[in-house]
Amino acid sequence: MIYFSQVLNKKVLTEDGIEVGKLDDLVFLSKEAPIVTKLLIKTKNKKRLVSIDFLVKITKEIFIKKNYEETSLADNELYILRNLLDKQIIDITGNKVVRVNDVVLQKEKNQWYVLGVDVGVLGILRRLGLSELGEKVMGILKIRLSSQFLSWAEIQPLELSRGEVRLKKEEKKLKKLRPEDLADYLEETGLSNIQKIIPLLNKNMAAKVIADLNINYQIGLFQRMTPKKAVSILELIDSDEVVDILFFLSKKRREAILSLLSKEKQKEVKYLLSVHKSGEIGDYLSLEYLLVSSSKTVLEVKNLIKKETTDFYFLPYIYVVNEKKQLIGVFSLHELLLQEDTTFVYKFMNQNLITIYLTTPVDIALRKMIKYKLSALPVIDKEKKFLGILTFDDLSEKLYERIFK
Amino acid sequence: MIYQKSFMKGFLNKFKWRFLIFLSVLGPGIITAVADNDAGGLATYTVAASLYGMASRFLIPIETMILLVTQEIGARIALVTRKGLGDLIRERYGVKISFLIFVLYFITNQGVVIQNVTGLKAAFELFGLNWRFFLITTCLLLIVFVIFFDYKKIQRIFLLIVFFYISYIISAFLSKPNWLEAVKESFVWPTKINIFDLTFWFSRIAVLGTTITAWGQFFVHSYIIDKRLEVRHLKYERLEVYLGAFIINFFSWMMAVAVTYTIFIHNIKVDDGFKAALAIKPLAGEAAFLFFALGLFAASILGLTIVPLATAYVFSEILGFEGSLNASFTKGKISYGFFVLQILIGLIVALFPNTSLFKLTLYVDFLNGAMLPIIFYFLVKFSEDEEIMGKYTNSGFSRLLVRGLVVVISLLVILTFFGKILGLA
Repeated sequence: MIYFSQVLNKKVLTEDGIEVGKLDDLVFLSKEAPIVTKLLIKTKNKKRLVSIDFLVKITKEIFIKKNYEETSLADNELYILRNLLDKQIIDITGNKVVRVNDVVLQKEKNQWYVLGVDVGVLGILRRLGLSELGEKVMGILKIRLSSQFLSWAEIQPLELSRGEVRLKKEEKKLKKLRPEDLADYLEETGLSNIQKIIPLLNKNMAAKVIADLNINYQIGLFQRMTPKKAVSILELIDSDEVVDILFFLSKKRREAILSLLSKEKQKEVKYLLSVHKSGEIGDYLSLEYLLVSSSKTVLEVKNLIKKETTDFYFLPYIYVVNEKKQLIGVFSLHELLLQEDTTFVYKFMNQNLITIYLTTPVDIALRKMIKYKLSALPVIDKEKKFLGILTFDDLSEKLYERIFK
Repeated sequence: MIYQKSFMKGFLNKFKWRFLIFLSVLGPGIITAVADNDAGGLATYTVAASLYGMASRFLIPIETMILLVTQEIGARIALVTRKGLGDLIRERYGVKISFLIFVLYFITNQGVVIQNVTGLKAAFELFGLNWRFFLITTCLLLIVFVIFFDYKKIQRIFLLIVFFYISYIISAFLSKPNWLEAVKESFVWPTKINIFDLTFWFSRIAVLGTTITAWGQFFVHSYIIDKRLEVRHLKYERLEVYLGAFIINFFSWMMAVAVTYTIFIHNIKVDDGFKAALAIKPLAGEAAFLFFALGLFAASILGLTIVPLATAYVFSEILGFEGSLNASFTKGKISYGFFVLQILIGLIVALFPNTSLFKLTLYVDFLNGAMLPIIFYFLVKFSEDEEIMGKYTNSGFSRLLVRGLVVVISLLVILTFFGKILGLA
């Protein structure tokens, strides 16, 4: 086992002792077993990438075969110095972002591997050449310094925009993280990094992560995607979120994306875009609701829920409408479960409705939710026609901003 | 008519909205700029104004511009990368270089902290208070307050202290200045002194050197990240940085007025803020004296909180520890530790009765001067790197302007130091 910091900048010689240059970086394959594949050697005039097959041995100096040849970077290869050392990574088991203080390499069966990274204080002291002194001082203070080692399986590099790397395969490790957390970590890095990480996720995860990113990053990402690619991701995101994103794109781009969306999604999005202009409520309007008629039985409603709401995020209430789509009643899931399967909806639905309009100020809507302890309010128009719902969930972000920012 | 009304309403709403966003970004630019006029800065301004009157603020628009340009780059890099300057140096230049910079930075800031503790001591003495008791209490209170209050409360207090700087304006008015002459001397051409006097120019550059500080460059950066601002705030944050640069030069101009029309016109020589305040008393009355002392108090408190905080931020950025004002004490104890350490060292030094502020200022200015070219080098490098900045890189004219300014400031700062060694200022 050796530390990368110990080999960095070592002299590189050929077998017969002719100086080639200094070791500038190592390249490894970013996969389950991260094999070191190439050496980047800084010679007098340029940097040369040499395959590790030409490596003879690492002692005080690094020796390579004299008939070495230059090669180029392949897909899924990362640099240690440019993408890992001193950079921020995700500690997947600890679920946080940490900084790499050193990289640990190991030789096994004639191959070099990236074993993992050191994120502890000792790593820094070692690189400053102060590890012994540090241990002595801390020994007097009775504090034990230890290396904090994370194995390759536990980490995910975040800094991928340097060194022209191309990652193509899906990164299974990232599945262990919640999309919300990953979005937070990504926001700590720049847009160019996010662009490199998103393709490493499967489509579903990518959609969730993008939905959780802050609007500035969302816009940045979709401005750079082809409409086709954008659509494949947008299809998986909630319509109200899609509208927020589309709203900030250029008209031409918006139209191109809209025309490629599935018919159903297109309808929802166009509708939401049209209410977007009529008041602040429009910005938060959600189309994740279930409408039933008052003549349905409890069992029928239950079956409807099973059939229609599989992709719902949240279903607090079920709304009752007449043939003209006018709102006439509401009941909660709890109320539904308390009824016998044969009971008709009109027998137990609440007719005393708390509603809002698109023009209602958000403050008032919020006050109504709190006063009547409702987690969602139905939005209707002047003819009492049902338009959509406003959920506390969607407002909570606004609320948070008001309290803490 | 109706159309017009709704148009007006729309316009006003838009304006209101923009103003609200502006208020929400308020903080980093103004606080950093104002804190640049800390106790040490005040001493330099006072001495310069007592020697050269309003000519000490000659070319003040250029000074404002230099501060504005340098702070703007820092703010922009912070907004785009969401990383501190410390983070970036560590990532691009490795442990050794960043550690070396931190050591230099720590020492420089420690000097500045000592200046500010001494300034605070002087303020208490001017108020006729038991300075030992008040100095120790204030320092301890500051520590408790930064550790246990969250970011939002701390920022409110910072902004409140900025208001105390208004006392310099009152103090300037009380000195019954000749405003027209003051404007002519500083904005047009100085007539009261010999402009070809080399020592005048050394003093003038020293004043510039106290306005642009090493810690200020790091602090504006870290503070923006702690405030969680984003690239969409760039327009507003820029405005805030500009406003900060303007405000601070306005305050320093007023400070110079207060000194010029009391001490300078009576030909009295002073060598620090304490003696200046004492000299003002018989010339402009008790009130002017008190307001001047109040200004010194505010400047010292602000410097004393922000500079050690700037140290703690950079420490945590370079070594990768938790270093946010929102962090609890247990979570951020290492970086809070640096904050406490710097104040305590400052306090101990100031408790020795014969600490010479004069010599200290000399060394601090030298270190600051030595650090500035290095920091500017990084700032220019990062701001021109497309990999880091994307479409927000410096380019074309602004690139030339920034490079030019950086070279000029670096040369000037080094020049002042030699001037000081040779006893020219």
